[in-house]
Amino acid sequence: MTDTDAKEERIVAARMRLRERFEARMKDTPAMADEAPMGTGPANRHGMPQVPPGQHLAKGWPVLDLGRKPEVATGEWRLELAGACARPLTLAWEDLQALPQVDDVSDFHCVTTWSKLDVPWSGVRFADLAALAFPDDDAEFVLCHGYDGYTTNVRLEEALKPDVLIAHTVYGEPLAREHGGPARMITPQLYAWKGAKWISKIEFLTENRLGFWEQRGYSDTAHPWRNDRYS
Amino acid sequence: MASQHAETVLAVTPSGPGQVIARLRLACGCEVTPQVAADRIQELVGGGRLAVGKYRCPAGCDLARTTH
Repeated sequence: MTDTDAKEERIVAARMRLRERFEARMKDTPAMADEAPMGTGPANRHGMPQVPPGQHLAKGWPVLDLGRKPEVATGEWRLELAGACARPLTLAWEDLQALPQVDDVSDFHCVTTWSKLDVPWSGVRFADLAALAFPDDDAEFVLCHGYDGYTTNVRLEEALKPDVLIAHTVYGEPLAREHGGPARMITPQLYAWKGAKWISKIEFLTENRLGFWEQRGYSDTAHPWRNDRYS
Repeated sequence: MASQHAETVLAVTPSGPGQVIARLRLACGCEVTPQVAADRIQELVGGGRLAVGKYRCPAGCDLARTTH
């Protein structure tokens, strides 16, 4: 077995271990466990009503941020995985591109009451990235940081869902700067503020630490089908 | 003074590159006319418009955490 094979085997084992640790809790999350979730329209692929309560389907794509839109060239872009993990690492753009790439169509629900359905994203699964860092057995949360200074916290049972991506492409084009390019996280089963634009760091945590909006009264859990906007 | 969601977009007038002046009725019933980025006023699938974001009532009405 080569060193590369051994490394890939370790990463696969770490991914399986993470999955085993959080699979039961993932099934208990509101998006999957609620028997009568709120919302309207036909069921989406997760069995939830297509449009969560209080949401409106927008034709456009509003740009929301902290008032800063950092310009990060792909040559300068880095993503740090740190905190409660055995192998902290920093990925460059080519490292991200070398990981398994995923195309996924998902819905996007902003807490400001607009939604976009069927958005075609490409990127890398959060779960694949997380496995590279070998999160500690007592890591339960991540705090995601953006190049703009933004932070948001996500529970690992949510972040590890297969539709959570570090996305670099949307509608077949590189993710535009105003939408968080070159890469942002997306969390289709949570309100979209849980996906940091211009993502720069994923910090594994054993204790929950609130992010920017969560410190300002927005929900820690952010489940659209529970109208879970505020704490 | 808490900010509120707008219940109704009454009128929208271009006011410069990428900017509009929107006349909005807030959840409390008061009207405001902020200048906002054009993408803050969204056309909705199926008709109608949505003012994205929250706005302060000039009369100081305090409807915290409106979710409409």
